[in-house]
Formats: sequence, structure tokens, C-alpha cells
Amino acid sequence: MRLKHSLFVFLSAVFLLISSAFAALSDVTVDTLKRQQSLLNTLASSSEWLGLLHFRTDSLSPTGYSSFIDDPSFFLAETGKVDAEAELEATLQAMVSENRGIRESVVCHFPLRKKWLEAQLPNISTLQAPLSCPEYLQWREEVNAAKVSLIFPAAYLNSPSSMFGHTFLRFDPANVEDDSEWLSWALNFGATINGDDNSIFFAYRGLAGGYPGQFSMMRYFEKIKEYSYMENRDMWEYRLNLTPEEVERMLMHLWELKDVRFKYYFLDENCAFRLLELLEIARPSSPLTSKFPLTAIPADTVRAVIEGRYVAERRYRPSEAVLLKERIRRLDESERELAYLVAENPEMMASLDFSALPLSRQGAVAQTAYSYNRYEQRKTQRSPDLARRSFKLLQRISQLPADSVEPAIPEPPETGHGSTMMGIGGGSRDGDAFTQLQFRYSYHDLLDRQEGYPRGAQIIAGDAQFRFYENDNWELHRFDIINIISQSPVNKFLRPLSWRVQAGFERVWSDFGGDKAYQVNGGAGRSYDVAEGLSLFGFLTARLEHDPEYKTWITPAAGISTGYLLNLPWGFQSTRVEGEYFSSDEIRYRGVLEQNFDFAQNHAFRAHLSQEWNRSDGRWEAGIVYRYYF
Amino acid sequence: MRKMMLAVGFLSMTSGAFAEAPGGPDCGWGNMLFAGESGLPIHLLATITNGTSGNNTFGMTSGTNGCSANGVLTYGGSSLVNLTPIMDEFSEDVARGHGDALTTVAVALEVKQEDRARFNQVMHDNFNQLFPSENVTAEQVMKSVIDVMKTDTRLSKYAA
Repeated sequence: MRLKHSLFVFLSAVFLLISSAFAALSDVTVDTLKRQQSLLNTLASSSEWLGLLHFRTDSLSPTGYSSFIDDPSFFLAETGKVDAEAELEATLQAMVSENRGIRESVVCHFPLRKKWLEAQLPNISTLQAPLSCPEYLQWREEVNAAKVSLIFPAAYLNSPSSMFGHTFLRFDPANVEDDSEWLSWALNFGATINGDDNSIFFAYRGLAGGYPGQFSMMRYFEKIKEYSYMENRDMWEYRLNLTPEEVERMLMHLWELKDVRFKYYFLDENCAFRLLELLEIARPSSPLTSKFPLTAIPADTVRAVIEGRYVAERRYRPSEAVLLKERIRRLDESERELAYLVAENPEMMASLDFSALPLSRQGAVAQTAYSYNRYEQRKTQRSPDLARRSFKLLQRISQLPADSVEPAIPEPPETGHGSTMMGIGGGSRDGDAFTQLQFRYSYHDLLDRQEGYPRGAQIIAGDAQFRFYENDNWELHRFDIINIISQSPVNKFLRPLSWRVQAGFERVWSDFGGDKAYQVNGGAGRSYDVAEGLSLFGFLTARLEHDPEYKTWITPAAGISTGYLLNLPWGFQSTRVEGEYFSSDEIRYRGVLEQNFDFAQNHAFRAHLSQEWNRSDGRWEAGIVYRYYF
Repeated sequence: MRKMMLAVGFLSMTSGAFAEAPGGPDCGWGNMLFAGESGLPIHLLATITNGTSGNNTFGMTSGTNGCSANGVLTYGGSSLVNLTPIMDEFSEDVARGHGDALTTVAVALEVKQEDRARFNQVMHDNFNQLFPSENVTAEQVMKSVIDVMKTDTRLSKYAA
């Protein structure tokens, strides 16, 4: 690829020379172009051309515009990154060149530019002449795309970085219903990772744009294995209503981006944003990227694509973990016990307990045990013992009636509340009334409306609350930089750790220092589903606190937190009791009752009642806030 | 902002297994029952940036993807089928008699729509021949698949 790249740099340099020594190239078509300078101006500033070059407004660029793409191999003109007109001229010069080799290499590298110019400039005969691009055609045939689907692997618990979701595309052949979409090609935009980097460096570079982002393609089954099997993420498949012509445009442009290196930024120029660009190329009349000037959270972009009327059909692909949970759910208590035993020791299938079951129930029990083993294996290297047990179960399953489960389809991600939230409300603290304003940048907390979000997961990034007390000024009441909770329920089969982490500023009820605390805290614990919609949780917690009015700079503390989360018809309710003991011998504890009332997708009320104590005194508080999500 | 991102990255690292560098020699995603692929490359950055590791290709030709370098399943064309990346799923589908992995293998072998049910049934009935032990290799399984098909009147034409 290096070679090709330098060839292009060389070629574009040649063209610049040619155009400056204009007379040297006494081609009629170039004369034609020269006479049509105003037409060139118009073309170069058209939204289609700017779209093909991935231009956006850029105040730092001398032209006021620049391309998202930094890779020089994407441009023929030396100034192509900032000058759309120079790039247009260079492209045209090459595409009408007398030298067939130059013509071919540029046309075949930029098939969509060619197609567009051909339509815009019908009078230039050289542009209209057919050229064959065997490499492109071979690839196009291999990809075999007649339909395009947008795939959204949802978040999974215990991995906050997955909670924003991911998006990629899948290209299906025309007859995919008859065949296997497992073999369809998936198009992914992601960072290209150097496996030698150490892990922390990894994360930092990935987020700060230090890794090159690239499109890559793989068979869809690899994606299924990655998300559904390995990471236990449900997948949502949105088949798009692109016309064959639009699919063609998308593929042609994809070819132009084949080896292009983007910078990858986690928050804005990420997978979701790049796919929106592709959709815009396919259907220029329907702008999408302009809706995401700051961040492109995949779940939000899915909503935008649906609102932009791109989607024909939606399908749900449950993760392996969801299937396992459904299998467990369909067993009765004694069958569950049996499945657990059989998973550990397949020889138990010879027991009376097992053989007394009807064949279909034997199948269900053996399949549950097998799925459970598989789920467990996921986390380790292959072990001969586990493989032997799994194989024994599989042998038995092959002799028993097949057991298929179809879990209930959850609410799709696009029905979820918006990921940014503003709130206004008020309340009273010890009889002192206050007004409260809140802005939460993202994303979802445990009490927010459940639809479209994973259960038991909270991820808050950037949440500011301001208060105005009577006879006082506005003050910052609380600021969460991050506040993440992962509560996955423990049962007989699955014993995940629940955990939480929070960092930020808050007002505390302290009898030692002031009320301002800059703090970071975390906890580990367990969560249990005790009834439908009711879960209990308990955490051991640790905290580091900086109080500017207290003599030690950092004060550590240890504590506990326990409570319940209850799903009521009008919204989630939670009560928690927690306390901390500080190294300074300070003690604080509190009880908090919160109730969410969600009356629409993007509207809710949140009420709270709390009491805080320290060694000498207590204070209470009650309040209610209206929340608007967008 | 930077602070927040770092923290998020750090968190997910502690919560996920960090078995080995991504993109191991076979780039396998957890082929656990049957040997042949490396364990589990759950890797942090791949999750955060949705990245792929090494072996980045553009689907230019089949089989160049590092995860399945020695011959890939294809639509039409080649009947050289490499089962390795989907061995677990295939074995489970054969045991049950249906499923996506079974269909995938049928498609790769160019078994026509009207013979797919037959294909599923024959594979299912011959589970023990296809999978004699947990140490069977993908090549052996593929050979057995072809052998079994050859003995069936309706499937033999695909196994020639």
C-alpha cells in the first residue's frame, strides 16, 4: 500500500506541474475545463463534493474548511485537505489525462468521484469513456452487497466502556433469507491496535486519538462470536431501506476509503460518526452528521438513523447469556439443581433423578448445563476437564429432543430516553427551601426509565447540580465526573461481582471540616433478585476525600452501603442506607429514599427524601426535580 | 475530560479478564470445547474503541483475514471449508439438529435450499461419527462431514 500511496503523491505533484505549465497539455478537454472555471467553482463548493472529501467547517483552516481525513493518500492535490477546488481540479486533470495508466489508476481508486463528475460534466467525452477496474469489481463481487444493515451491539453489564454501545454495518446478498447471514460481510470502523502496547497506555491513546482508525471487514459470524458469545451483548439489526443505487454509492465510496487512516476519537469521531458519514454519502439528501457536532453516542445515532427514515426492519439477536438465563428460567427448582449438578459432573445423567424426567425435560436440563459450561468456559483458557464435560453433555443432547428457547424481546434501544438530561426542581433542607438546576451530560442512572437500557447498570459522566437557598447565592451542590454502578444479580449459576465507582465534588454533612468534599469512592458487593422487579444489594465501600477546610489533605474512609431497587409501575424506587468511618475518627451515615415517576420517554419526576447524621447532629432533606431528556 | 476517560478505561480494565494480548496467533474467539484456537482475547481497547487488532483487512480476498487465514467459508465458489472458527457452534448445532452454524456450513458447501433440511438431519444423525471425542480437529470433522454426505443419496452430489 505504501507504494500506491507514494505513486499518488508523485502523480499529484506531476499534475500540479502540468497545470502550471498549462500550454504543455494541449488537450481539448482541459481547455473546456478552463473555460468553465465558474462551473468548477460551483462544483467544488457543492455539498456532494464536500461530502465526498469529508469536509467540515474549520476555523483554523485558511479556506474555512478542511477534511476530517488526514491521510495524504486520499488527496490528489497537495492542498487537497483544505482546498476542495484544488482537489477537484487535480481529480479532473487525472481523470481526463491522455495517459491511460494515470486515468485508470485514479478512476479505479476513486470510483464514486468519477461517477459524480461524469454526471456533472456530460460534455467531457474522456470522462464518459468506460474504464474497467478489475480490482474494484472483484472486491465488489466478493462483498456481494444488495442490502445493508446497521448493527447495534447493546451494552453489557460490568463493562462501562461498552455501555455506549457500538455500531457497524453488514452487507447482505440479495438472497440472504435463504442463505446464512453468518457469511455476510461486516464493516467495522475501529482503532487499529498495536498488541504490544501495555494496557493503560492502550486506553489513553485510544481515547485521545493516538490510534489510527480504519475501516475493516470480516465475516459477520466473527462479530456474533465477539459480541454475542464473548461479551454477552444483545445485538440489534436494523435493515436499511437503501436503494440499489444508494448501496452502490456507499460501496464505491468505501472503496475510496479502503486504506485511509483516520484518527480515532472515542467520543466524537468514532464508529458511529463514520457510519453516519457513509449513510450520507449513500443518500446525500438526508443529512445526519450535522446532528452530532460534539459527540456521537452510538445509541443516539441509531435513533437519528431511524428518525431519518433509513430503517426498513428491526431484528433482535439475544446474547448467549440471555439465552442461558431464559433456559434457567424455564426450569423448575429441582431441575435447576439437577442442571447444576450435571454441568459439574455429566455422569449424573445416569442418575435416577435425571432419567426419571420425561425426555423433553432431560433435553432442557442437559442443554442448560451445556450452555452454563460454555458460559463458564468463556472466561478461561480451554481446560481438558471442562472440554470433556461439555462434550459428554453434547453427546447426550444429540440423543434427546432439541430444546430451543426464544427469550422475550426487550425494548429496543431507540425507545430509550435521550442520553443528555436537564432538570429543574426544588425542595427543603432542614426547613431551608432551595431551587435546584441540574445538567447531566450522559447517560443513564439506576432509577431512570428502563426501556432501551441494560438493567442494573448506571453510567453517569458529567453531572452538575446547582442550588439556590433562600437568603443565599447560587452554589455548586454536586458535580459527578463519573458515577458508575454495575449491579448484576447473583443466582445459582452466575455469581458476578457488583461494583461501583464515583468521583467528583459533593456537599457533605460533617462535624469535622466544612461541607465541601472532593472525593473518589468505590465499592464491591453483591446483588440479588429476590422477586420479580425487586433486587437487594450490598457493597463494601472505600473513599478518599479532600476537604479544603480540614487539616489533613486527604482523608480515607471505609464503609458499607445496602438497600433495594424496586420496579414499580410508575417508575423505579430505591432506598439505601450507608455509612462511612473516616481515619480522622469521623462518622457519617445516611438513609436515602428515591422515587422516579416516568410518564413519557423523555420526561420524568424524581423525588427524594433523605436524612444524614454525623456524631453530633442530623439533618433532613426532601425535594423533587422535573427531568427532561434529549 | 481526560481525567474521566482515563478513569473509565481503568475501570473496565479491572472488571474484565485480561487474558492475553489481542490478536493471538489464531485470533480465535473462544473456541473452547475443541482445541485449535487460543483462549479468550477479551481486550480492553477493543471494547473501548471497537477496534480490531492486527490482521486488519478489507475483505479484498477471502482467507486473508488473520482469524481464518487457512481457507475461509465462502459464498459460492470454493468448497474448501475451514471449520475452525465455528467448531463449537457447529458441534452444538449438529447435536440439536439445527442452527445458524449448521446452515453456514451447508451454504459454504453449496447445499441447495431444498436439501438443507436433509443436510441438518444427516449431520444430526451422525453426531458420533462427526465428533468422536472432544479432541477431534476441524480437519477431521470436515472430512467426516464429506464422508457422511457421500453415503447419502441426496447429499452425495455436493461432496464430490
